[in-house]
Amino acid sequence: MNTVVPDEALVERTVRGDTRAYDELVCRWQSVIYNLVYRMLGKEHEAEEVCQDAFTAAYLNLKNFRRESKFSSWLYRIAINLSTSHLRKRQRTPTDSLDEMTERGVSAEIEAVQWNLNGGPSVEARLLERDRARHVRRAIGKLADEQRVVLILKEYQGLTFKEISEVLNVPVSTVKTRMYAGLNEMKRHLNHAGLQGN
Amino acid sequence: MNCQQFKEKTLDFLYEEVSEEERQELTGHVQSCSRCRDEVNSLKLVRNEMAEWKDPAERAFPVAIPYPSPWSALKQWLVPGEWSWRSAASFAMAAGFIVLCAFSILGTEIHISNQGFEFRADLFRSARPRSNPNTSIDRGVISPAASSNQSISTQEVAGMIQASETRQQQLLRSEEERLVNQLTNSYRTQLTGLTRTMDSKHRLDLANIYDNLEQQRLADLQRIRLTFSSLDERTAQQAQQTQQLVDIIQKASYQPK
Repeated sequence: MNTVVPDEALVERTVRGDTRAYDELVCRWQSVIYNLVYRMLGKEHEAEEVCQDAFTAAYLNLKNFRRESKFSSWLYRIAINLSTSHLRKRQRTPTDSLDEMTERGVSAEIEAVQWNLNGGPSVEARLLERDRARHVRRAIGKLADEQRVVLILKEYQGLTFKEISEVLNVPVSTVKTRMYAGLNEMKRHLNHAGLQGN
Repeated sequence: MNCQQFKEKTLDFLYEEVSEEERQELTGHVQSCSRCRDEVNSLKLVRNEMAEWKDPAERAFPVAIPYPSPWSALKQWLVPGEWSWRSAASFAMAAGFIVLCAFSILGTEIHISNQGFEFRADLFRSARPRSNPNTSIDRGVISPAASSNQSISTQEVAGMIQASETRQQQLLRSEEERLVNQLTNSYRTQLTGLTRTMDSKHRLDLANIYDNLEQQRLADLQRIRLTFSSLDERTAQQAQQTQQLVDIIQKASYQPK
């Protein structure tokens, strides 16, 4: 039977100098962390960069990792901190305000037409779907940092309130307060965009 | 359950992080209270809308970790933390101690003379008897210079040679005895084996076999005796030669310079 080596054992091996153990940790968590960072930043190439930075920072600070929390919680925290500082940096130097869909431009339309020709949803439905996703992304982008993080961890990463409280190092009640406020903010933004309830 | 209690559990209910008992209780309240039902439904709509933002496509991009080089990994293993002058000095001292230990084990000698350095490593030198500087004997050669300077040392040499001869003769004698005993035991064993294995009609030949074996034994003994006599003679000759050599050395040591 193939048993999965726990993260903590791989961390111990990495600290002792086994780089292959850390490669395994990267392989195990790359997709999850990329997903989280992408939700935070909304841009794929920036998400890749921050994801890379998160794994590098985690490796370099692995000796300081206290075993009180799970490795995944610690890694989440690093990725969130880096994403937040990246967002602040982006706000200070606004070079490109276009979102992913606009960046793709015509290629997205071509892709939609091709998908339709292959028997997928109609171009109209596909574009509508993209439009709704864009509104959601923008609404999330308008949230306060602390609300956005909680919403992403809960809604897209599927963490429990207790796990989120471990990641953010705040009480569960605080997590719920932020979550509730975040959902209400989302409701307001989506109503404003005329999407909710459609 | 009242609305205030429901509000505290709204999120747990929405994300199904409640026990079965609590879920039933909360569901009952939602069904009976239109305000709380509207609240839950509006939050569900937000959740549904958020689900429109799908996960990004799986992207296999390489994550390059700046792993340390083998040398820095070794440094880190030897001296964890920052590499300071103090840790470098400690490391150098430890390395020097290890090298000294290795030299000691290998029996290394370093001679410094006008010709320069002479480096010699002999792993098993310590197992051999060291040469005595008074007698100045090295690899069986008596140094003439040493013998002319110290006449007493030649007498010691003579004593040592005499002792060596005596010891050699004793060894030869004990070896002769050992061989004779071994041979006798061998004959005895063969005879016993023959007696056991032969049947009655062959027992008559036993006397003849015994005679043959006895003759063979005597012949073997004679050969051994001759061999040892020869060895004795040779030993005596060597002793005589050695004595002559010692006499020559003694005479040379008393010659006026």
